[in-house]
Amino acid sequence: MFESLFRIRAIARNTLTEALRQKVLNILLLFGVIAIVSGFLFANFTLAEQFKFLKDFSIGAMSVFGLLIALMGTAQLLPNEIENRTIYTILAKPVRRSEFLIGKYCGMLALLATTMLLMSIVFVGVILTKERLMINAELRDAQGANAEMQAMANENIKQIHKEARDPRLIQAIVLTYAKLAVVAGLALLISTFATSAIFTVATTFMVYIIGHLESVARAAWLTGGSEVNFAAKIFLGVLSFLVPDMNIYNVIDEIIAGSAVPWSHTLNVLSYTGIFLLILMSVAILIFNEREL
Amino acid sequence: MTFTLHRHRTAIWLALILAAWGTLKVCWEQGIERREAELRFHGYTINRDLRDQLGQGMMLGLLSGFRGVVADFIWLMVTNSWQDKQWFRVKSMVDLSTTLQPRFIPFWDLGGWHLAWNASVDRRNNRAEPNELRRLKEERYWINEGKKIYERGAENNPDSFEIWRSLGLLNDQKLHDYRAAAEAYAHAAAVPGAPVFLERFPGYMLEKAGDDAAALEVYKRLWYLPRDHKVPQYGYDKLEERIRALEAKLKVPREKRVFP
Repeated sequence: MFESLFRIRAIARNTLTEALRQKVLNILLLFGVIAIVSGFLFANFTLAEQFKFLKDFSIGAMSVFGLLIALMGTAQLLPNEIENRTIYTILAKPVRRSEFLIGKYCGMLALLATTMLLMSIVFVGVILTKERLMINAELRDAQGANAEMQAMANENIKQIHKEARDPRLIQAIVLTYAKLAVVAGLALLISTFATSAIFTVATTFMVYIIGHLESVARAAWLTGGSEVNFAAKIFLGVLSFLVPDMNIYNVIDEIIAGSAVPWSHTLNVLSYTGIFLLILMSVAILIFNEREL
Repeated sequence: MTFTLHRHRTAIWLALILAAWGTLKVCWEQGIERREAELRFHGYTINRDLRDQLGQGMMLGLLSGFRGVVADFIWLMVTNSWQDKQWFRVKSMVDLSTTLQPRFIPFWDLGGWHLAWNASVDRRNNRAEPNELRRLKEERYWINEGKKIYERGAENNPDSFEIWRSLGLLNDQKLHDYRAAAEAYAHAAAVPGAPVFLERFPGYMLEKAGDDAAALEVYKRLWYLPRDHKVPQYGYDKLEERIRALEAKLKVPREKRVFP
């Protein structure tokens, strides 16, 4: 058991090191620029709007870059190993195919965690700088003003603190990571039977988009009644059974909009993600075990 | 033969896993959806109307899970259209942003303000329209559009005092419907976390409506709340002033007065 875990860890570490050598983290530079620029644009808007734009654009950039890394990175994992014939060397050793696959996926999760962590640090830095600048501006405006203006400035400062140090952002970041883990899992599953990386990228992205419509398909399947014909019902049912509901991660937007999202709900979504990933990995292992290399 | 059997076994395993998971998955997703509806997170449905309004690029953004960013871009268009005084465009963009993110209060609050204040004043002062009645009609139209935004916003966000407060202000200052304003302010004050001064506003509005007796009842109810009268935020000095004035005006018998 422990030997197996060591082998998985070795493969995961190797995958992470290789990915880092490919200068994946350069993308962070781009993220930093987007976060900083979006942080200082839109100065003519209200406090709430400015912070919403900053959070939306920063978390959005994290999602986009994370999605690119998850898609491109995972899609290349197996084809690269097969093309370079390194997979034969690894599998010739006492390494099971399942261990190889899990190791690769864990490496990808570690890469996503590293990039998310670094992007989050940049994001927090930008938001705290923005907070400092806005508070300074409020204090400057309140200097020498009447009591009413000073009370208003104090209220604004309270609101700035509340917006900038919103602990719910942790929920948003964790959920973004969970969404990316699902994308990487889907890409890995597809790459176990795909013949090229481009096929994996295109198909995974398609499944990702369909995932945002899964709730519509499910509603039509379950409550469509006689309006939906039998063939369409079968199709919608299969879709609802197989494709993950990506809309459940839309709760990230609610968090940024200022809604209180209970941790119990977040944990429910995370548990769904965890079980879904377990199923994805099981299916991927079953298929990969059958694949002729 | 062994190979075929093995493959069949894998296929059966796959089918079993997917069937079991699929059933659990659908139930689980339904549960999450129900919970989100309870939390009022469901503001929009993807349909043809939405697609036509958004355009292809924004729709792709929406389908890629970037609802907040799409709503922000539309809100930037609201601001541009407001600066260009394109009021119908402002209205449709406000409708769209609030549809996408109904829980972000400033979209409702500022959207209603753009229509009820900016658009209405602009139309009333429209020099290109010589007919004053027509100008007033247009002004009234935009005030009512702003009111509709606030009403929809309050319906979607009953836990927000800001929208009720704006609705109260609109009823007071634009429509001069002081009873409706009193009702809106009472809603605003009842929301947990609302500023305490809002509690007095229904009284002020009822006074403006000429219903001094009802206003006095509002002030008296606040006066007798079990609170520390020395806390300045509760504004007991203002309450005392209004109660004294109304008791005198209404000629309330001494034994029934708060301040005999």
